[in-house]
Amino acid sequence: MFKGRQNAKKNYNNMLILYKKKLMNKIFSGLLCLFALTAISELKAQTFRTFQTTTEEITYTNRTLADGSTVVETVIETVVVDLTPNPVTAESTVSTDTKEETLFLTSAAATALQTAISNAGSGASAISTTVAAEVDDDDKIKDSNGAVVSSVTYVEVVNGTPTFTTVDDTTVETNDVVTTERAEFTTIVEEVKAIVSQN
Amino acid sequence: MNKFKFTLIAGIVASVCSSQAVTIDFDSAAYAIPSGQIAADANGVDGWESDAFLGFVVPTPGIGSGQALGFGPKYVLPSSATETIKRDVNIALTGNSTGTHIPASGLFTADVLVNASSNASGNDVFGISLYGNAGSETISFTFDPGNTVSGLAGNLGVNGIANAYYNSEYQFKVAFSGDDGAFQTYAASLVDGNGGSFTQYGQLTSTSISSIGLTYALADSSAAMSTASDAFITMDNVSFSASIPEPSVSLLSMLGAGLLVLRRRR
Repeated sequence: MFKGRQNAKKNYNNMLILYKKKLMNKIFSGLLCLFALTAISELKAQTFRTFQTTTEEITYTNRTLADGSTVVETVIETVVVDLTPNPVTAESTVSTDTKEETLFLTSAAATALQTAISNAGSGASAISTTVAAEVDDDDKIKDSNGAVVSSVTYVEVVNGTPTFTTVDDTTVETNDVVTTERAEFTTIVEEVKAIVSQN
Repeated sequence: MNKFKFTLIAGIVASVCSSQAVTIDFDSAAYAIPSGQIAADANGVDGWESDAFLGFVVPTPGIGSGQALGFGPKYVLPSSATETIKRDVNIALTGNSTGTHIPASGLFTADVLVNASSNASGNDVFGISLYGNAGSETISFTFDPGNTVSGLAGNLGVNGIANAYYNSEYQFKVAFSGDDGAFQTYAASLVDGNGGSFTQYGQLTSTSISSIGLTYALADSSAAMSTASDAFITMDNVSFSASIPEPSVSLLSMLGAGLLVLRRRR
């Protein structure tokens, strides 16, 4: 009877030890998984650089108003492209922001602006910088009260029929046109060229 | 007794022969680019150390055969104005000093090419260096677009003396020579594809070349890191070999005497 009790106690202790071992194993496995997940998330946390390019374009269109006067509809389009090549995913992400700004200028002001932009050179933001510096309210079309107009209705004769179209000077922005493209490593085209020295 | 014989023979053989060679094969399995990736991070690969993805393994680089090592801010911005990717090579420049006037020599070669920037322009400086174990001794060539020699063609100034070109392969060649088993005198050349070269000479106090490295420097060290170009330097076909000095007459006599002693003991 006493021996039976001892055996039962022994079995219970063995089971307890086994249970503890299993628990320890589970804790250890859990820690390992956590470590692995941390390592993977750190691997994915690598930030690759983004290359930004800005292009600007300006267009001038003469518009005839109903009263016979002429205004120059000037549209400045700025496109900012963010390119992020990712060597790990082998993809390039291209994010495009487009901003379209419309101004209604007098003919004299439009001519002066064209000259100024031509003199400003070809920097990435040469157009917008020049427009900001050169154009003020005196260059813009005004209504009979002397206020700068925010919209104009111009006339076009289509198939002999006068057609009226209204445009306003609001700035239209299109954000984040994101495209992802498969990327390849650009093979360098090697050219044989000499070392040149004074010797 | 056998242990003694073995030690004696090994010692004699080691004192007679002195040879070493180093090659770095960027096409080996260690440099494999994981499937689906454009390039692989070179940091930690085969002993190379740099910022992650500042050094990278380049597929079909346009120089050498197969893959090469690239270094520069193509994928990541540098974390400081000057960066390096380095690997230990531990090439001894002193060897068998028994006997006298033993001409010893070694030759280090590596192909390099500086790829011009395409997405972010700039005048960043690249270079290749061998680092000595004494002080801050280096044998190096730098390619600096902001420091070209005026009046000469080319778009990269080399050590302020010569000019080289972007996207053109050059061999970095360092010939070591010397007497008494040491070869610490060097002639460092940059050899172009036509066989023309530009050479600089010097004498090291270092007794070994501890490491090889590629260097990068922001054109304006005080400027923001975002002004870095995306140009990079590539390197391939790295090798070093040393000639085995002929044993002197006295050394050969020692070897003979040693063998005789062994025979007599038997």
